[in-house]
Amino acid sequence: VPPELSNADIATAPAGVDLALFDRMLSVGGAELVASLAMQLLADFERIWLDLHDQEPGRQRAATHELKGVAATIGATDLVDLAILHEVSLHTPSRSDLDWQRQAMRERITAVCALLRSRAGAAATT
Amino acid sequence: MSPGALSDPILLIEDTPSLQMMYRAALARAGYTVEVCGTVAEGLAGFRRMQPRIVLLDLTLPDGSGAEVLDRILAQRPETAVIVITANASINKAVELMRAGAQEFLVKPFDDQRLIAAVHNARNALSHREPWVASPADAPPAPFIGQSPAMRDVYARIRSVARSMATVFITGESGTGKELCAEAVHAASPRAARPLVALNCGAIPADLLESEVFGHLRGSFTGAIADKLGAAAAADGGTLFLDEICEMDLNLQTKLLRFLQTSTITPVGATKPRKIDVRIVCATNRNPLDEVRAGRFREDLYYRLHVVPIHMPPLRQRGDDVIEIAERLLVEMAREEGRGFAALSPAVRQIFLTLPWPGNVRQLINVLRNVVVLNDGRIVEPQMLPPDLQAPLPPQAAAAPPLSPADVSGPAPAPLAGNGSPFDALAGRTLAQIERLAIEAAIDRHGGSVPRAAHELDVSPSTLYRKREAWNRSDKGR
Repeated sequence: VPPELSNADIATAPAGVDLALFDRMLSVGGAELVASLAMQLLADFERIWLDLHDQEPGRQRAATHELKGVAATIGATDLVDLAILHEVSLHTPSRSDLDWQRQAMRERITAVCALLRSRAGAAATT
Repeated sequence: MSPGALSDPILLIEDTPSLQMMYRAALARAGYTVEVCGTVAEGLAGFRRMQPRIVLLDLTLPDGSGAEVLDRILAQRPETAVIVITANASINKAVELMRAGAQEFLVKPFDDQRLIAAVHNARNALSHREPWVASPADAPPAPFIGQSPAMRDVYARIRSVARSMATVFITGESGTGKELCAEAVHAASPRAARPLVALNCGAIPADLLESEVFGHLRGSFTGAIADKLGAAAAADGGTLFLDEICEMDLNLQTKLLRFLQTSTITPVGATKPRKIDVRIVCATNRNPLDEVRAGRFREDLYYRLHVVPIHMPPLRQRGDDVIEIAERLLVEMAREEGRGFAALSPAVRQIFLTLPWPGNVRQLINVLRNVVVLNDGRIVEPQMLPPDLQAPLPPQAAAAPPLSPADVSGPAPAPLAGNGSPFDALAGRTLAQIERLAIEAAIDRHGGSVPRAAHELDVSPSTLYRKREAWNRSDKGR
């Protein structure tokens, strides 16, 4: 059963994250799996972020698509929207939007990762 | 019935590790067992191995599209319930996949209850379908890989002929799997518990061949220091496989014919014949009727042997089999060589599907070995292929007839010195490995013809046959 959301949770949640879905998906394997699932998500975000900056366009496109899927699964809706925009920009001849999109994605990923770390820490202490 | 009552494991094909963990955990809590694969190649191999009734399939995978996996899974087993997972919420895509046979379409985000409900629905739908029973004709006999129509005919013929005593005559280009076919006939026959003895008629000097086939007694000729059991006697009760039968000396063909007519052998130096019970399977990469017309093969022996012909199709006529074979072998070779390769990139698949493969599966094996030894990574990309494959022959060259002996002499080889020397690619290899590469490349260049390759390399064909036998033994021993 996902944990009840407190007011503090809601107040500190990063913008554009469906916190109910986020916690529900982190707890799909029960309390004992929350920490390892959070750590795996952190590792995946790090790998995807590196691939987004790869020289090879195919790898950039694959990473953007993967980001869209992972973000959607944990309710990071703003990140999903940015990934969709980025996917379109990667397919268009002008790549002028890529820089601001990556900056915005970086902020959202950082916020989601901070949330994941806090959940992993909380799960480890209980 | 509890969910756990469905003991069949579910196959999950998804490449992102955190999503693998989530889906597996959600389904495990609901009582399901899940096996996870991360690529198209692993997924198809997992499907063949597990034969699951329910598959959860991500639509975008690192080495290809989930839609391709859906097609291939349903082609092999149409009753499979495939639940497609995607982050692309396009209605057109959903309609396209449902038309292609997907059971359900899950668009991210979905929660664990939605996932479990989709699997429950698939289970319920399956319970209303006729249980799928694998037709024996559907599964390739080990160790064959591939489900192309041409190979299905071969499998059906192997199964039909295996039960009888009829002589089997296998034809096909070099590298098409004639020896595997002989092994499959033997393994599916009532003689499977008895020996299968293979003899390469082209690898043994003519003056020793009689002794190899029929045996000899001590002192029957110089060097016969002990009695020798010939291949025919060693195969008593089992199967005698005579490979490269058209290379057999005419004199010995007469003795073989007598053996087939009387089922008796007389070892060299013996006076009394001995009754032998063997089933004969023979093979050649030549057109046996051409050999009869040219006077190199006895007509009466041809009709005695040519009872049930099986023709092994060349790789270029086997459609998608080339991809299935390549990806299965790639994973095996990568494991042997300590590399991480798991799949071919879509571009490499396209190249493989259009190549003429004159050396057939043997050439494919050499290409993959070259890639795995000289590169590392997860996906095979076009730049990792040997240079001659990166710029494939134009179609008219691919369809060109075999070279005439006059063509074989060809122009002098390019000098090896200077920048970009071919030697660079050989760095770190032993002399024996380089010799093997050179010989196999020469055989491939001549469409699998060992005699022509031998002519180019200025050695006897039997030298090449002997070396290939030794490599095959060494490869099997590993």
